[in-house]
Amino acid sequence: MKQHPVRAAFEQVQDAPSREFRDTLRAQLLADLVAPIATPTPQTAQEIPLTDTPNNPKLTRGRTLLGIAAAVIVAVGVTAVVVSQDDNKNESVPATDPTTTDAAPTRSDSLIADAALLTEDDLGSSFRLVATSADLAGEKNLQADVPECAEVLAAHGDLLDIAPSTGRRFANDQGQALVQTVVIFPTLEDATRVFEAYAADDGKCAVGAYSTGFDVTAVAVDFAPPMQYGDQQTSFGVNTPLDPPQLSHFVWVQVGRAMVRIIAHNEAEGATEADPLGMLDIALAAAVESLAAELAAG
Amino acid sequence: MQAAAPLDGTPSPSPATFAAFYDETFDAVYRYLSRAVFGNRALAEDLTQETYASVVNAVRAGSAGAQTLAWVIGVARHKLIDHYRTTAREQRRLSLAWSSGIGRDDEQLDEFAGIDAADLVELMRELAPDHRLVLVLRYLDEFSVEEVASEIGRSVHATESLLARARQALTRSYRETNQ
Repeated sequence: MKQHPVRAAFEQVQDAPSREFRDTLRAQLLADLVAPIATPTPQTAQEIPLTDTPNNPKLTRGRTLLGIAAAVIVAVGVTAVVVSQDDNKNESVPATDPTTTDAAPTRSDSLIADAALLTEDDLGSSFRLVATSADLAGEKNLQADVPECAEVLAAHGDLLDIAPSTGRRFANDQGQALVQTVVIFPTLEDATRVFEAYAADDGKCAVGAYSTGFDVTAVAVDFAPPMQYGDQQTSFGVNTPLDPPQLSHFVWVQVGRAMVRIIAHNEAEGATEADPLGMLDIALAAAVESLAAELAAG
Repeated sequence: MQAAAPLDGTPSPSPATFAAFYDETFDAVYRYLSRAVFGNRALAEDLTQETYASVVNAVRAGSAGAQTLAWVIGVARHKLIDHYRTTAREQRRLSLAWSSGIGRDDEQLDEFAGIDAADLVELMRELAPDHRLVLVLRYLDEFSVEEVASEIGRSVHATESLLARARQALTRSYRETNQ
């Protein structure tokens, strides 16, 4: 049957969507999906934030050579070290933040942190849980000899020694990984102080990205940050010229008196993007939603 | 039309489930809307965004409907109809287009034979919004006249007339362009 000319004319229209539009809308929808029901915010195309937010500044400096520690490699889970959390779990710091729940706490913060961890179901079918990951207390010890990290360490005080932290590492068969770390502080003020110390440093201290005593040189990279999640958010991109090169995007989000870090990491041969599958927003949306729910449940 | 993996149908599917659904349906939804607005990229993006915003709202509201590609295309079509109706009102051309006499939805192909498809697209871009809308529903969606009438909330009789006048306007525009 001959096709109607008007129908054929419609098929003549071949306008491929821009990847930027597709990815930005995707991230916006994921954020909307987990946003509180009570605050719906209808969006228009002009309202989609493409890059910057006050708490999530896009890195605008030029590429800067940075020393990077073995701490980074530990942080992104290349070695997938399983760290015992037994000491921290015994601390049982009670939930005291009135901004997250009015109910009396019924679980230790260690249990809350564990319950807030991502699962394979949260990430879709291709990522598998491969290990628990290092805690932040271990990273703090690696920062101790780095002069540039003095302010961050001062902000930490002893908090990272007592605040429960835990994490998981997920990976797929294509060399990409997602690493989650959750830490719950005794109070909202503690969490805010540590988060702001990280943010003021662009996150470099938290990934060990300083030259002191390190023999691997990495490059800080700009990347379009993900959508805004939680109360505060900061991010940092880095390429590490190992063999094969490792590309990583780090994002920290404060959620009440807790903080969650998600690292999208790609060590596939010839990789050009840290997060080619757009998993960072998926992981962040699920992680923040889960953490907020577990904190509220107490 | 390809069938996309349906969402769970639960009130709060995981972000991963929604992201997979979005990835699977986005290209088809955008392509449909882009064709329906004759390649106007900004408008296609606006309507695509409005479409998926409605999908998210429906999902969050716990809609138990079958959230498939066909379902999303249906949402997109309603956004398109809303757009053309709004545009028609703004241009104050709707009453004129609807007020004329009765035509027939004949299926003659000769009236457009020999016109280059790209030229036809250009000509359709210049038509009144309601003319563009019925041509989209009739020839892009390939709806019957009865289905078009149902979508735009008019009688079959009036819809036949509108289709006939849309084609006449297209033919007239072509002749004027090529005089």
